[in-house]
Amino acid sequence: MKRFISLLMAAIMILSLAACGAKDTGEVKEPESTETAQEVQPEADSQQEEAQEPAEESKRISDADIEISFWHHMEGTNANALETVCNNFNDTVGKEYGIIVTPSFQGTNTAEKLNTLAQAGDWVNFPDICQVASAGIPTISGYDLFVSPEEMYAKGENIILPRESIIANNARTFTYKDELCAIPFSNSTILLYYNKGLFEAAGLDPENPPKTIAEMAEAIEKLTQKDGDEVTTYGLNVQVKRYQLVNWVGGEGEYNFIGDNEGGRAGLMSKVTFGEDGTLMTYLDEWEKVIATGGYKPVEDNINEEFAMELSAMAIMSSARIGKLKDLIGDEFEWGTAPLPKVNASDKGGTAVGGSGIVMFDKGDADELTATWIFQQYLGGEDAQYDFCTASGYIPMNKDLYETEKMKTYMAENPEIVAAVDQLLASNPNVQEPFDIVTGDINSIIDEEMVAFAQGEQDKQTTHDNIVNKCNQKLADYVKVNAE
Amino acid sequence: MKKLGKIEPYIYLSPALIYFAVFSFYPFLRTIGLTFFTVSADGKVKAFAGLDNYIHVLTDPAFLRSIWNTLVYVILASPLAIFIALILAVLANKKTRISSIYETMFSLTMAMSMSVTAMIFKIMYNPNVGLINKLLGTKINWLNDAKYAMVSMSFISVWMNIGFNFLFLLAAIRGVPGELLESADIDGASLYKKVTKVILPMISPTVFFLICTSLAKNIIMAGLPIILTEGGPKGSTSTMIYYMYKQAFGNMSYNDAYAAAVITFIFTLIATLISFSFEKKGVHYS
Amino acid sequence: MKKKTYQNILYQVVCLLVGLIIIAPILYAFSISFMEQREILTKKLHLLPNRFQWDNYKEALRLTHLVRYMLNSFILAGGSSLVRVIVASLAAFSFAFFEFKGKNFLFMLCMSTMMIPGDVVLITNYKTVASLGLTDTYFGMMTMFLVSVMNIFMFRQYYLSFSKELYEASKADGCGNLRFFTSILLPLSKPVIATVFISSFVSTWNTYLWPMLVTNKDTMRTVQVGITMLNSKDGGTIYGPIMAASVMVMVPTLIIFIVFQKQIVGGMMTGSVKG
Repeated sequence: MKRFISLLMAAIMILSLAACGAKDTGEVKEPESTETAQEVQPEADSQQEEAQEPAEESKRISDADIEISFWHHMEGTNANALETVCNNFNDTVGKEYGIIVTPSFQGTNTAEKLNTLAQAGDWVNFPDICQVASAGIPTISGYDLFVSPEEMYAKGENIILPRESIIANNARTFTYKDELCAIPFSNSTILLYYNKGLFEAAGLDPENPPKTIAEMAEAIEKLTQKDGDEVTTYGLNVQVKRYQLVNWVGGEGEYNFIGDNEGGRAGLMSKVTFGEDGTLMTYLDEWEKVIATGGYKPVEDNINEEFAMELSAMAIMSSARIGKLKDLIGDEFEWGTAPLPKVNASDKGGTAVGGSGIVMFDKGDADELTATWIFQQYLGGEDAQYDFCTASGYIPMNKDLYETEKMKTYMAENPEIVAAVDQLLASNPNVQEPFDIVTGDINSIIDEEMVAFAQGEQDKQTTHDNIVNKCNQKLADYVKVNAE
Repeated sequence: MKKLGKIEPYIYLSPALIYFAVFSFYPFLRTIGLTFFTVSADGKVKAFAGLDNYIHVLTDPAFLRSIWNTLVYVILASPLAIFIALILAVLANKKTRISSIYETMFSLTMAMSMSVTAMIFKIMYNPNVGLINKLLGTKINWLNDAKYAMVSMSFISVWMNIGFNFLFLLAAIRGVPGELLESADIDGASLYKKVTKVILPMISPTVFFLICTSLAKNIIMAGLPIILTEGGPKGSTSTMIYYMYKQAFGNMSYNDAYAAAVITFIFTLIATLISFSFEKKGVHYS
Repeated sequence: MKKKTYQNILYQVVCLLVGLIIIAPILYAFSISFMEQREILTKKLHLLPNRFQWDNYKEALRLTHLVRYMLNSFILAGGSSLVRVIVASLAAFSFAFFEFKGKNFLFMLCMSTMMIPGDVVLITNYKTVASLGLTDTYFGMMTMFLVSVMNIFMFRQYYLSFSKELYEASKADGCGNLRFFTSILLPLSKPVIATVFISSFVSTWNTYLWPMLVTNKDTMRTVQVGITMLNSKDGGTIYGPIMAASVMVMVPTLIIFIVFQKQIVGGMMTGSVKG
């Protein structure tokens, strides 16, 4: 049975690859990919029927097909994966309900475009549905047209994605003021990537990567290679910015909100709390050990490529880069991934969920809204998540998918992804990137201070105080202008 | 026909003026107006703020640093691009059998876009695999070391503007009457003398035009930091308009963004006025 | 005499070498577009690809609809450059050949638009364009690029070098102002028209933010968006295909440039830019 399934999987993968390969230029929807999708269909259909009532009666929402516009920010191969998912929807569920989805790329920051439209009062050009990074949720949830999955679940109509299927951590990422504002879609966690060959050469156990920052510092000492005074291979490369710092500090103890109002999820975040509760200092105490090794590279130039060229033995990056690293490294050397090393050995928090979710808008037509709701759920469903995540390297947000054979097979074939999934499931849902709104400023503050700290330009206390005071200043400025 | 005479020049101007009124003056005056109010993140006017926004921006170290960065960038990029182009124009002035080939080469950078150029230089500047370190035998982190980042970025801008400047300067130099150069030759003037005493005064209107436009272009530059560095490392490549861009789109602080934009406008205005005052002294119209 | 020939050849060789140094980044990009990943990611000096292979080009075309984007950019850049030439030459005609009330003030007013950063007027302009119903249209994409004061400036400087007598003489012959403009002035302005057209074409060919904002369909995207789609933020940069896409995007502007370039320098000799 297992063999049969893996054969089937291989066939499907080859077919979907062929679909991508057939896509040359010009048209957005080609007959080729439709055909391939139909060949895949039987399998997808059988699963659907299991989940729903018999397909006898027509599910069509209205006589005419309803067109849904879907804005996204996926690039390169990820964009292809997303288009495949949309085509599959149009050929299966979309066909049943009479829905046609048209995806379109809207730049790397969809929230920025939505915001411009909202400020210009141009609601007409709003999409039905849009992929947004989690940081955009507080703003977007304030738009007049915004409809949350929370409301739709409360209505209880046309539910094809049971709410319980969404992993709690991912749901929490997109929850604002106790309201689920988006269906999680392209998610990731932060990982330690390490070069097994270099581990072995340095006398470290390649199957036992460091679990804490202190252990990591010891490993760096052993992994760093020097030619005279010049470092030829760094033990670790990572630039500590907002993303990295909130993952470390957020995971301390049981969990840590970073800022007040549950890190901005219960209301406007007005200050950071990692200063007053000492968690930032705890982190800096540990981080100092890493800096002291002299084998830590505190700025990122081309972190993927440098890891692939064995210029750094360890790197800390989002799990979304696994695919890219596989491409880059090929068979050159053995490498692996591990959960983000903890600040204290006793920490239980884990890491935050990164990435984007799907929000929907009510453009005034009840049928269109129903259709959008169905598509929104579809994107979080087993089929869509499986197709999208296996092609893009994101980790599925659908709990049930992990129980399926195909996902188990995929994980067995892609051991790098396992650490990301395990870490996600073991983390406390309260560990999240905060909704700090002035995200850009906070990111530059942390970035600048941490680099200055790492390069020995300022001591720990100064770094700590600067981060806390500057972040609080920016947050206070924002609150002053925007508090109700 | 006579009646038309008076309004005729205005008719020819009207398309441009109407366009500017709608797409430049109206939105910018609106922006100036908004700088005196508190504007919330969703773009709504909340309260009269007087000069608070300006005070806030001008006391923000990040903006002050952006002003400094912009000045460094302009001082590095504008004159150097004109100077190199001038040398090339003098070089290309002499017509030879293959001059059309190297004329094209010298001006080719004009056809390059900022983002493609940025991509190319990003690879060349890479500290590990980049061409520049390999050729120079250095290990400098060109775009990610606060000491070098702004200089590296200015260099990209210089490269991009050489072509445009060269084209104008070449045309101007070729417009210098041959007799003037010949008489200089007879006097036994050195090349340096010929350039400074004969050519430069004759082409000063073109140089002036290039200085004016490049100052304005460079002061409001934001494209390179957006594509390449996001203002880093340590804020060393954040220009004034990049600061504005970040405040508006990254932090939704339109108060800071609009005030920064108006301050930048004033800077550009001052720079232009200064160069116009030099025009009176240094530019010779034939 | 012989010495002179040698000197001449040496001079040409030096010029060529300088030219090669200047366009070296372009040549390097071209070379990288044919390299395999591991050739690019090497610590050794590696200037030329081991062999010509088109994989990067195929990959770039597979991942984006670059051909369609090029068509869109072509319409956008060609259309707006054409309008720019017409509007700018008319306005400059007025500034250069007429005396009228408020001329200097209006000229300075126009010049001041050069100092207004585009990003700050973005939202208001979007509002204007959206309320005119121009979203998702080529014309909507062009709106931001239809007039540039730089072009007016360039035309004006060029016209100023014409002798007023030419204008007066044609007037005495009973030639109307518009006739003079269309049948005498414009034909003599080929070099500046070429310059304005090329510089406009290049700059609009490469715009990103505005076309992205006013259009919502994938079929309306421009080349710059295509390159962005390859430069994945989350996955890091894939140099080969990006360079291949960049080369493909660069080629049309280079061709247009080389075709028109002779026009410019040749023509501008007769009327150099004078203030």
